Amino acid sequence: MQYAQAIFTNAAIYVIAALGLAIFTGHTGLFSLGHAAFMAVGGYAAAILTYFLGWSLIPALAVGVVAAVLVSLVIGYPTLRAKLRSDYFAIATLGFGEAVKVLLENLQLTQASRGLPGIEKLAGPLNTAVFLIITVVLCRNFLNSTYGRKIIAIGQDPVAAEMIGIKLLPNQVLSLAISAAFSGLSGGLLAHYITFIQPAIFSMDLSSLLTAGVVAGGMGSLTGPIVAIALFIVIPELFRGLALWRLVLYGVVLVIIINFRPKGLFGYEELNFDNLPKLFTIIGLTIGLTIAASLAKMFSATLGRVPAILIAALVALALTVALGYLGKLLAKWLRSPFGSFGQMLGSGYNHIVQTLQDKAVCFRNRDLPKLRELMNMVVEPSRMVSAQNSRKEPVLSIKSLSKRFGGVVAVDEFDLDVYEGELVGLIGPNGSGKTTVFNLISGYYPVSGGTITYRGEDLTKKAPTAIVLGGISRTFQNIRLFSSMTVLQNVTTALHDASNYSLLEAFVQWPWTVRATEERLKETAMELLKLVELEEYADRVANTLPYGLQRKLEIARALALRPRLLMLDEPAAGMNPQESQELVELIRRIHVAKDLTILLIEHHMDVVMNLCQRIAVINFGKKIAEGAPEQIQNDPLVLEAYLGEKVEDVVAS
Amino acid sequence: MIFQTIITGLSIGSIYALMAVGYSLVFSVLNFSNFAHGAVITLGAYIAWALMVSVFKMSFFPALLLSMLGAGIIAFFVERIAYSTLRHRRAPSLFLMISAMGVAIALQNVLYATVGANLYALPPIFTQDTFSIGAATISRMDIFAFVFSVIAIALLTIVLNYTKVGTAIRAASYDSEMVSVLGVNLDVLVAVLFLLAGSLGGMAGVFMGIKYMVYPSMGWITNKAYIGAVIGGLGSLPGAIVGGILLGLLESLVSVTVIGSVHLSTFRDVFSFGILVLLLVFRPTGLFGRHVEEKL
Amino acid sequence: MLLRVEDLNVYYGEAVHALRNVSFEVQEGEILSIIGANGAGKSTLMWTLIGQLKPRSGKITFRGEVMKPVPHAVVSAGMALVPERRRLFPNLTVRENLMMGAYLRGDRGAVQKDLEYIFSLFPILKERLNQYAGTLSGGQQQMVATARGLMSRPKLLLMDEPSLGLAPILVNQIFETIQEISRQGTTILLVEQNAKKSLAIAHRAYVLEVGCIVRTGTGQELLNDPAVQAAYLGVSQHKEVILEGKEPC
Repeated sequence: MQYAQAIFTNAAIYVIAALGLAIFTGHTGLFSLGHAAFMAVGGYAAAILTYFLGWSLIPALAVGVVAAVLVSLVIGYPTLRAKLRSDYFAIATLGFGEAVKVLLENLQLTQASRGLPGIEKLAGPLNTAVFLIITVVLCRNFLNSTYGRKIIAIGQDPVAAEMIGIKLLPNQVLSLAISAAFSGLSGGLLAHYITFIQPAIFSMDLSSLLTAGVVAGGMGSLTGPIVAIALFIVIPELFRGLALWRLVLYGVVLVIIINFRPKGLFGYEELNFDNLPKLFTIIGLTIGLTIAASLAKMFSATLGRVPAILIAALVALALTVALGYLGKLLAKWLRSPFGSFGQMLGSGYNHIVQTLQDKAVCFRNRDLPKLRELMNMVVEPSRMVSAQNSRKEPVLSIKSLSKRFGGVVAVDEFDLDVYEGELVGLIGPNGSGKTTVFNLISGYYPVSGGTITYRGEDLTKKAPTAIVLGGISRTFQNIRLFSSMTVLQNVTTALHDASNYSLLEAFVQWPWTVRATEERLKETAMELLKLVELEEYADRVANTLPYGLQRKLEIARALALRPRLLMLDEPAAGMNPQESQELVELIRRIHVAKDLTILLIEHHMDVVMNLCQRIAVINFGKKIAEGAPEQIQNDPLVLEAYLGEKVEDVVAS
Repeated sequence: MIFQTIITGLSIGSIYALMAVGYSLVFSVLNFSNFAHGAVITLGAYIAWALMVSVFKMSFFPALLLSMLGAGIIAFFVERIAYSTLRHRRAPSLFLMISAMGVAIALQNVLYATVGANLYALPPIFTQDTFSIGAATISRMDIFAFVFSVIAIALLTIVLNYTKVGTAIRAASYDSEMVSVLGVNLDVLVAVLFLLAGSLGGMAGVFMGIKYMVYPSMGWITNKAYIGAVIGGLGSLPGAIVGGILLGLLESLVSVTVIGSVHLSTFRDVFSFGILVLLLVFRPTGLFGRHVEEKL
Repeated sequence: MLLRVEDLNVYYGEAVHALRNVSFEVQEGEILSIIGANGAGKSTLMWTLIGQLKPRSGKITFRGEVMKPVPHAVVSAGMALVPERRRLFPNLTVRENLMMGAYLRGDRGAVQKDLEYIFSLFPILKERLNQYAGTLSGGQQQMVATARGLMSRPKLLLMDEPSLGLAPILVNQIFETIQEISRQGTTILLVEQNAKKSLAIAHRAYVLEVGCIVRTGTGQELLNDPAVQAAYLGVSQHKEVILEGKEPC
């Protein structure tokens, strides 16, 4: 029993750290190979306080957590700000981890590489279990909030996230800080459980154990890392004598998982009725192997080696299958009406929160009108603004805009005025600079020259996120959805600006604010999905949709940002004539319903000519023509650009 | 004194360069940090130890050649087992790096579990053999390592610039898909790449073993050669050479510097890792690396 | 029959069906043109033919042999690709770029003779031989890319958007060169957004739309087809006409 408790406590402590890493690496997609350093900081800070100053555990742990967070800000801010390539970032964290370790090895305060022996044993199975539960709940709550969704969005596609107004740096730093906090907690618990602390504990091996846990457990999941780390800690304990091979196992598991199952055990999923059997199978396999190992030893004396191993293997297999089946039964029972009691027990926390929240919504109805007003703006932008704007002033005014990439001039002295409520087409041959113009307007590229003015404001000096939240949203030529999110989540993520609860409220899922807001966000998102006729696909994962529907989802996501100016980049690409006909109808509909101004890049001439009131033609970065569709169709310069010959030849032929 | 420091720095720097070239070669074509290269270097040193000390009593040159060959073959198999599946699937380069990390952890710990954590010495070829120029005492081994490293790197440069395979490797460093479409068998090309990188690594491992000792973590992920490659700019050959030598010089300079009562040598490693982090933050492409921008 | 493609299906991921039951033939000596809008699957088709993309189903028969999706096997069987946006190696000299095109050939003397043929097509390249490809102008880069494709002595040259991003005068030159290469005996499969010009020089042509082949005919027939004119030739007097195939997919 003592032994089982020891294994549990050990595993629980590392699971806490792994959950922290899951919040960062698992959800932002940025690999940290130096998380052991945060554990070291938390562990040393807490240990110094109890060891030298005789503090009690909780305040010492709290200080450790704060210390880890502070260090994470110091290392995280500059490295994340530099927007390093993902692998460079991983290497920088690795360097940081090693530097912290070497520093501790030489620091007199912490008695260098000897460390602090004889720390009071303040952590045990009981309080560790409590901390583990708190960690799981907090992580889950965080990920199910606007704050969590922003981080998940960044992990799936940083560019798309930025283009829906999510600032990268603060959110990435936030995620690292939260992650460091849990690592610090874990380090503190570890020091007070094993009763000593020294630099050697926090080596690269520990960081790689955590990383291996997140990768093997599955990116984008909390369940996965919990299961994986538990296995990593428990299995070598069960097969003692293999201690030296433990690290070999982590290495080999890393290679196998990343090569053959990059999703890991529970990639982008949490424990639910569908994967309950999978969890049971894994547990069965573990127990089976353990029993098999001792059986093999027992029988090999009497029966000989080969039959003993055979029997052991059979037992292991039987146990695995049996537990898998048990899991299936349990899932079935939990799903049935009889299981509702068990279900409530199983997710008691959920249930309590939900009940509280339902009550809250009733009691706090007075908050709702304000919220509803905010939401209504999303669905139906007020028409007041447009009434104020006279028809004469352009909403968007581009003057002699230029962009050079090295020696190549992509956009060359380009001018364009767009008026309130217009639907303007931007056409030109491939590579003529159309998308670059969009990228310049949305702030993705800095301009090389010229001005872009939107409602009197100069956009060239604004950050992409500010431009989006200022009312200009867009879609992408190469679809950039958050591919592992559901259709609905893609849209709710883009509604981040409409949620107004604090981070603290998010962590506890404060019923009076979080729940009410989330409900409304969902409703709003569903209304937008209805508008683009995607409501029946709300729960499908985005990248399982066909092309045409993905493009519509991008439009819904762009609309969720409450744009006044919408930029569509080749929305009909890859659509058949019927689909593009439907798209024309859709664009017309949203143009009116949302009172939008629309700028459209498109190659399908029928789409452009049908939709646009005015068309600008660009070639070699220069505007070569502008006017009504009929004018454009007969413009000699346009014909030349598209057909590559002088118009006289065309006329002659 | 300063002259001696420079000579020592050049000698260790040239070994770093030899290793760094291996990181850069692989990075230039496959675009990931091959952390397993350190393990290959270590295994090269262990092969030499087995050949010269523990199993056979071979003389230096055949042992060096066999170590290079062995390390090259190990590198080739690492590629087959840990990277080729990912390559064919066109997985993101981060996946390759994680896989490489797995290999590095596994190989190093296989050494711990089998050979053990002991430090072994390789026979001193002419380590004791020193001569003096002015005030400086220079070991023949340092000169020898320097000359050999330079010759190896020169040979590599010739291969890359004047052979068909070399041209294809340089082409692939820009656009490996296009190289494949022109009829080059990428699997073969990558195999050649790893054989080259591995055998240079094996050579470096032998020199490291002679100069210092042979032990399982001598080529660990965070080894200096990798930092040298980052300084020069991953993927750039001249960068790796300059970066390696620069780091060697800086290190030997730091080792002999005393400020007040603090010997900087205590913090030598903090210093290298500090450089690594700072460099990545302020100039991630290193001295010679090229910058690639994402297309929207 | 030089090339026969039967029921080719190519996917990106699970959801995106990029080519649907595509079947067509290329006859020895002809210029075959495939036109289609952006995203229709033209480049996908080219990269599948050269073996770099794996089709989920379908058969590609080239010179009587079934091709596996292995580029070096396809190239040594006699196909070569001049890709969209040229894809030269900017860090290699023009000569090295050309030699990369001849990678699979061992016959040094003949390669030298082929260089002379290249210079007869593009005299300017002789002066630029030792210059880095990255320093050339767009038009010269297209010449090198075309020449690189020819250096493997292909029976069938796949050309993907050769006129992309070129000034009108250079576009005309490129199309003249294509005809010249064809006259010298190389069969050409041409994919172009410049439908008018490519139909004008094509012996036969296909229209690819959202992964399906929806029309076929001689270049001249398609040039005069009102539906094709409306959709691809920019001279739209027939807005209501929508191109629709006979539901092949």
